Amino acid sequence: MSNTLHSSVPELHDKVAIVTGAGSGIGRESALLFAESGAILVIADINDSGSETANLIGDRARFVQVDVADWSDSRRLIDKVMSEWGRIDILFNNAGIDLPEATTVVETHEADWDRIMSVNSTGVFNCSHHALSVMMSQQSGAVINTASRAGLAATFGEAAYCASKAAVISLTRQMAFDYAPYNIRINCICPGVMEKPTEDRREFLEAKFSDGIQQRNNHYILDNPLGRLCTPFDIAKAALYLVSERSSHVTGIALQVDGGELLL
Amino acid sequence: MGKLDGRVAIVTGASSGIGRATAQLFCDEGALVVIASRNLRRLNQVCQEIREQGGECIAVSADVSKQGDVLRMVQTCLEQFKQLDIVVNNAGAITEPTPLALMDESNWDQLFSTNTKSVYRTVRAVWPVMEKQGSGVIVNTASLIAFKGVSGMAAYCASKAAVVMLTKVLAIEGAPIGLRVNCICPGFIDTPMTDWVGSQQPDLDAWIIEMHDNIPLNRSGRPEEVARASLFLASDDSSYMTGQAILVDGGVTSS
Repeated sequence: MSNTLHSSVPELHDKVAIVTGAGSGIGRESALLFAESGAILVIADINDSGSETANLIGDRARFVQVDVADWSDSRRLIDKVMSEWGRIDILFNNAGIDLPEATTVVETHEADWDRIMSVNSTGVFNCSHHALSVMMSQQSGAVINTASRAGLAATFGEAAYCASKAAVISLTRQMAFDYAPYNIRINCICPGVMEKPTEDRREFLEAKFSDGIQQRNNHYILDNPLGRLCTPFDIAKAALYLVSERSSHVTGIALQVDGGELLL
Repeated sequence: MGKLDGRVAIVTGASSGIGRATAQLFCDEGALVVIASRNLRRLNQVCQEIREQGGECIAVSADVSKQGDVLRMVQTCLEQFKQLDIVVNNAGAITEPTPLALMDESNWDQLFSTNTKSVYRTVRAVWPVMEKQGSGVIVNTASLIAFKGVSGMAAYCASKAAVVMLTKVLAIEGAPIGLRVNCICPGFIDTPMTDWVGSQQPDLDAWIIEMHDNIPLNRSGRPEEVARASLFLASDDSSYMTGQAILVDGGVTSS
């Protein structure tokens, strides 16, 4: 077998890939990189911004508006992909939300807890449940999930978010174990603190830091060995490694792409 | 266009198995590679194979348990290629399964010298070079069994667990001067070393079946599959990763 990876055929040539939360950030950047690598893209997002990502890619992308927290909506997503392309090679469970502001357990309202869990954890379960039965019959597939450094270490006042992401890491290992016999590989990525915070948190951060986001970033950069924060492209490159044949013997891992911020 | 165009790499333990596959893949991706091993005859064969495929590489006979050899290896690289961007510390050894209480001290020392202290030796030799360049990548080879205990393999397990921690500390020390340090943790891979471990078993076929049963993907890995993880860590694809251990184990550590 040849070692050559950079042959004339792109590494995700004609693979059908679903990326949830692909309307912005990590999801959007990953979708663009997967498309550049030859994949056919299903851009899933609860927001209209998903159509912009699909338009950027062009003919080989389709936008499907979906709430991954909703069982039947995520079913509809998978059904739609199957009726159009008849297969699913890659599922990137990336959709996630954060609360408008950091809250401890005592400060967290039940409805907020439920909402975080329903998108960040149950959303992974929902889409995986529907897609894995397809991948089982194909006897092939790669699933990746966006977890977080927050799933590995406590972060001040991020009770629900941390727990929801720890659940993603655990679910990743469990699914990797259960579906390996069907030749399905399942891994997750733990991004570090993102350079551009989520929209969910913008208002809170702007109120907290008088000098704006840069002040928040400077604070985190001080604690980061590589001296910068995480970008969507950093994660997209790791995602490409995990969904491609380059990682054909890798399953059940949580890949930390964080500049080494948890080493100290 | 290769992922390592214009980069210079050293791969130790490159005469067979994972090291050989890594050297071949790096050359395929455009790197100029110094391959090192104690076994010069086999090393020259690998060198020839790489050149026949259009790659550029030189072979250096070196024992990573000797500081002088390691310094000479790095010196040769600098003389030939004028720079050093990537080091893959892959050379390693294993001993026959022995309960720790019965293990000779000399065996323990030899194993740690090859598997663990070799990283220290290489780092001492390459650090000033990379610091001066302001960039560099080190990829260490730990193992799945840095995380899972195996009866009779205390020294090997501990020597590899030490590599994981060395990787983390080196990552912290290297970050301010532009170096990234990560490690790979191969599981059960088809290599001459694995063949040798198999040859120590009373029933080889039963052993292979048992090993595969313990791997969720239900097969052993190929050296190229491990090499690709090293390529990921050596290339800019992982430019925001340092101090990490990537498992290439078919899912063993998920349970």
